[in-house]
Amino acid sequence: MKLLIIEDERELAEAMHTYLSGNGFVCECVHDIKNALDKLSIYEYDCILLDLMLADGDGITLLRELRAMQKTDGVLIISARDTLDTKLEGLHAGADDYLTKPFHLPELMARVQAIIRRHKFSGNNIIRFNEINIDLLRKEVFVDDKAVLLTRKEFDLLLYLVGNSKRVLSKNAIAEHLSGDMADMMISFDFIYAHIKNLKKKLLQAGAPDYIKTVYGIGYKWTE
Amino acid sequence: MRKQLLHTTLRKYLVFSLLVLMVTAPVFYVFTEHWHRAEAEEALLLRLHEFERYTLPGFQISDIEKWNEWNRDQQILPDTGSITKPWFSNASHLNIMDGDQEPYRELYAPLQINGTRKLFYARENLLDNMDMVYNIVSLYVSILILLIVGMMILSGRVTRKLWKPYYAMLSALEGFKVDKPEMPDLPESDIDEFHRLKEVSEKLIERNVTIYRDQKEFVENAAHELQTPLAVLQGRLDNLIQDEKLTQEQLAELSKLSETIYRLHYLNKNLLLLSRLEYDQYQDTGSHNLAVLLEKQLDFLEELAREKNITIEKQEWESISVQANQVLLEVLLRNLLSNALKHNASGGIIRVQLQHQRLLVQNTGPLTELDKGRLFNRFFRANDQEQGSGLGLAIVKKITDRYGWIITYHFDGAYHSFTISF
Repeated sequence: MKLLIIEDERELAEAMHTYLSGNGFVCECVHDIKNALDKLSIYEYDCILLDLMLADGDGITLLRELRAMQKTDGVLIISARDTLDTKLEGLHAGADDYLTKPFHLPELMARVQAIIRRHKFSGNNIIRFNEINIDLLRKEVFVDDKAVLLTRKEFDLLLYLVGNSKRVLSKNAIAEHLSGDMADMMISFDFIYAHIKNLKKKLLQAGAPDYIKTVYGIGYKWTE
Repeated sequence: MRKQLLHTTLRKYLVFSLLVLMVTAPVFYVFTEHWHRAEAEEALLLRLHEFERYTLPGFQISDIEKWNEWNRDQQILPDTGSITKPWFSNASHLNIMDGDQEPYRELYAPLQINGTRKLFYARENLLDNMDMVYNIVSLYVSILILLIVGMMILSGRVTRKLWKPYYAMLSALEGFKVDKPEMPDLPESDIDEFHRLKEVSEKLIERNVTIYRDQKEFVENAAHELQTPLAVLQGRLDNLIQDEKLTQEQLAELSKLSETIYRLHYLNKNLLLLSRLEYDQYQDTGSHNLAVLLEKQLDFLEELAREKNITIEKQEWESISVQANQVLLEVLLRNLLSNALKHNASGGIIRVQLQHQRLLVQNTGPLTELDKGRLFNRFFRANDQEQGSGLGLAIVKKITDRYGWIITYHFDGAYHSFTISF
């Protein structure tokens, strides 16, 4: 899978590059529209990570040009602008999703994966991890052929963990992912502990090995 | 109670005229009396001269009796010897008409009739003092009444007309708010003072609006510019914790850092929200069912509350429909609910009531009343251990103000209650 990161803040581009590389992803970084257009005219990407405020222009303009070129690459807008109007403008211009800064890298990973899934595997919406099968459309999980009944939050959590497998996820990143719009209501991130515990128990009961490892002091990790 | 400009001037004028009348009344009295006496004396002398010229030449001693009988006011009296030249005196005589004593001015003058010395006596009725005082007082009272009524009408009319541009300016300025885009329309006036007032006010308003706008822009820009460095910080941290060489203690430190970034992020987000509220964004409104929106928020709240062993009691529950922007409505509910959670103690209770166009959120917590005066101020904290941004309730207040809803706080010894009346 190839990703193109278009972000003029080099430090952030580098951080995204580091996190997203591996797990089957190859990333390239450019810092302005001119270089982005050069790359886009030569290569196909599975997902483009697009910042809106670039030194030589607006990311929305680039997005419109891209769609005019009949390019169907998935696009995730990453921007400091967080008004509803800007979000809608971006989505109307053809972006698949919109992520406001600041964000957690695991969140970025989850969003990129979702975009790629929508673009590449439109018929097949099953994610497999060893004996675990996650059906995205029907929101069902099976261990081998045994159905595991998960709540909506547990399902989200499983997807998030599997998508960020072999990465340490802070409680903070998980909590923000699970709470979504209501993240500013949180006073502590401890509520995720109950979800982790339940998910772990249900998967174990269904016969899967214990993939969720506690990383003391910080959070959790999905391991092989 | 402050006095009105119109009444103040009127009162001053009236006090002044009263003073003038009070001072002039005795003067007028003395002057009138003096003048009348002088007139009387002149008339008496005239009668003396007339007598000397027309009557005296053929007048006999024997005529005196007849004369005195027919002329009550002019008599010929026997000489007393003490009067050598015309002499005036005061006396009073009975008025046969009303039985009152009337004041008179009298003249005594020496006279030769057929070589015999006699006295010429004449008298002239003077004004009665009491009558005069009475007349003057009633005259003055009538003048005073006329003045009061006249001044009230005149000054009311003139002053109102004169100050009209001023009152128009005042009401235009009263409607002005520095955070609203409308500039007050100050009326033009050809009176120099009002023209100057208009110019000075306009300059003042312009400066204030500029300063206010700059400050808002600064907050918005500063908050905005912080987003990217925060993203860098968050991203670097997310990468750093992947390092397997990190010890548990180091990871715990990094976890705290991550929490601080989260707080910074939401502080920043709230600052942006506040500044946008002042910019009058979030214009599009719709009709929303409060019960539905609240239910959605309560789901997550219950989850958070369970962790702190706090019970949420849903009480009366009616469908309330409100006209507002959905984002703001959600922010409002979220802030109110999380406030009730944040300041609660473990094992506490949160009560939510939706009834009679009213939302009531009650929570247990600290046993002291919050400072009502500062509660809704930015960065207000009841104590310094609190973690919140200190902006939650300020935002709630801003939103309720925007839609003209009323929020009140009350503490009954156990529950802190926030009520919003829609």
